[in-house]
Amino acid sequence: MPDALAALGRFAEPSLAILLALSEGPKHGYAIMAATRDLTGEPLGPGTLYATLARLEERGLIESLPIEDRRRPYRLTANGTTILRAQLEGIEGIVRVGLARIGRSARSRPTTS
Amino acid sequence: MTALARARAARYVRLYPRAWRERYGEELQAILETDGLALRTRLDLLRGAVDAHLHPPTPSPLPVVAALSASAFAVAHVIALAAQPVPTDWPGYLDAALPLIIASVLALIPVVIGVWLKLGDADGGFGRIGVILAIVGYGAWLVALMAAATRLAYGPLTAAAATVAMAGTAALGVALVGRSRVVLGGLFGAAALAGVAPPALGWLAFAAAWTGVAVVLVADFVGASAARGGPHLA
Repeated sequence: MPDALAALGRFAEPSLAILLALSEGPKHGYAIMAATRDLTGEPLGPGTLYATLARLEERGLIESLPIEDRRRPYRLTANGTTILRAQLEGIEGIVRVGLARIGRSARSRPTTS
Repeated sequence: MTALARARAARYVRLYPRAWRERYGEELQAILETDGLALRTRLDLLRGAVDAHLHPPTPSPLPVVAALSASAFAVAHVIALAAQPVPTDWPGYLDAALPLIIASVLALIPVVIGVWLKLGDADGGFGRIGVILAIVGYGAWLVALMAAATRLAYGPLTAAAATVAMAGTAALGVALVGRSRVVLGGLFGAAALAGVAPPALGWLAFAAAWTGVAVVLVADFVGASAARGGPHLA
């Protein structure tokens, strides 16, 4: 499970951002780009967006809905939600350990006066 | 948006393969019409188009056909050598056997690219270095062999190019084994060793290894086609 996105190589990071964007509900390509920019602060180019969407669709993590006004919305599948949850729990674990270590080292560091 | 800007956006969409455009083209065009075509967007689209051509929805049969051709030419080369056992610098060798190994090396370029694509997006350092060395090496080897066939040059340059190609082939073999493709990786390793082995045994082992690769690629392709319920290799 933790390797589900790692196997996507350079598309792993955009994949996580797209899955996160779709966790709010279905979105079309332009709305996904705007949501990922808000989430990460980094713009996601349309070439990378569609290369990643194609991979996520192929792996059954997202699915497309009928096209509306030249825009096709995408939504998370149950499998996509499971993978996203596993990824976020993995990140949460790393953050928890990291913060605990930083807290410990800050407390044990001798103070300079 | 002006008609000119719309036409410019359409030009970038047309860089993608037809099957891809049928699936995503309309929505991509709509985004480009809304968002415009900044330099960063254009570069991203170019990269995306290359990626779409390299990763078609249904795998291309080209590497399989190329592997079968490379194997057939390599086997024919061994037979030609066996039928005419002469030193490699004797003019008769160039006439009889060299064109066969040139054809084999030419066919190996799409084979190594096709096998590298099997590593997927997380191809790793060995995969990336391997494919670059292999493309450069097989390309240089091809040029050197053609120079030999036209009597321009033959010798250390050919050996150096072949060694680079074999280093790339070996690195791809390591990457394949790392991705649990042990048989295919082992055959790549065997082909690499054969390529730097003494000619008499080396060419025979080279032909055998690439024949093995062709068999594995055919089996992969037929298996993938059966899984999709699509057409088989005729």
